[in-house]
Amino acid sequence: MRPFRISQIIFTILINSYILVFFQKTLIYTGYLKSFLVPILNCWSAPTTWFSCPLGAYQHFIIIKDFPFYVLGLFLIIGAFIGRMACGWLCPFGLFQDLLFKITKKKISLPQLAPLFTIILFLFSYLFIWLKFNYLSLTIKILIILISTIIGFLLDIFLKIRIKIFDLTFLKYFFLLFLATFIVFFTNEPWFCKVCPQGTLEAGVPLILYDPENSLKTMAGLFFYFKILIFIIIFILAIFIKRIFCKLICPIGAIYSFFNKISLFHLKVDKEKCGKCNICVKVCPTDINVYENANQTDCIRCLECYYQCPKKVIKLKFS
Amino acid sequence: MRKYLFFISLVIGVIFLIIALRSEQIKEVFNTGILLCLSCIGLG
Repeated sequence: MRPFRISQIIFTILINSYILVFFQKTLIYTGYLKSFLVPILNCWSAPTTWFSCPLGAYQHFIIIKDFPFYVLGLFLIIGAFIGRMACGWLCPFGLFQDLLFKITKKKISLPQLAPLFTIILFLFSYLFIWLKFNYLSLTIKILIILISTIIGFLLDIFLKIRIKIFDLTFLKYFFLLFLATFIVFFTNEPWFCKVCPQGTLEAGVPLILYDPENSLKTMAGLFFYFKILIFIIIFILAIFIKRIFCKLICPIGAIYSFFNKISLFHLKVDKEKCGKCNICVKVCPTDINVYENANQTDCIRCLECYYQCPKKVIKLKFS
Repeated sequence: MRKYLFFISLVIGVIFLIIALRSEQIKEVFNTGILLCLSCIGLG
């Protein structure tokens, strides 16, 4: 087993090991350690977690109109040392996606699944309705979202637009700026948490199933099922596409990605000795072209390319 | 260039954490869930 896999498993268990919650019949751990952030996506409301999610805290500070010094300070220090390595070595949702990707050998390339207008029109119509037309009935809301999505789909077919994976990775910056920052600022609602599939996996479903006081089950409404729907979509896509959430959606990955080029720990390829066999590209969980630029923004530093390179031309640098 | 950017990031990060400590943002993180808890489980 690779070191990054061992690290992922240990860290996931370590930060989610408060099993006393089941004996105490409480919903979640609310002790002193909840004041500390983990450097990756890990839901605050997960019953067994000890720590807080930095993205949840980031949105919380935006809601209370306070500059998120704590969250950004943490990201700056970790990013400066290791870039996006935390995504590859520590993230429980990364581990979840890696395991899903092992289910089948049938893989789909993302360009076939990247209808640009469908995605944009769906997101905009959904957010626009939620923000501006909250008084509309649910049926009309769903109809508007469906119609605009279909229009987007027809535009994609008509204009024959399919976006390649590297072009689509900009979406995570959109999620960071739009869904986790601007909308949160203007509506005072933690919008990314509302749709976060990690929250569904770690908190939403477990809490509804566990629910010692039967207080949550009665509250679960349409939004809960909408959140489940998003999780199911990510779940299915992650079986066929490597780390789809990390590549396209994760706002934390978007922040760390800025540090990949400047971090103390980085990769270096001896281009003269490289035979361009493409093995590094095939094994890369984020599909980056390692021998052209090993420190691209999407590299999660899992070091799979380093281990599998037949000529050992990829070097690890800490300088 | 890489070293300068690394040091700038590190220094700003440390300054941010000191400000966070002084302004008690670490304690404030504890309150995150009060606002987010229901959203995290899709009930908010």
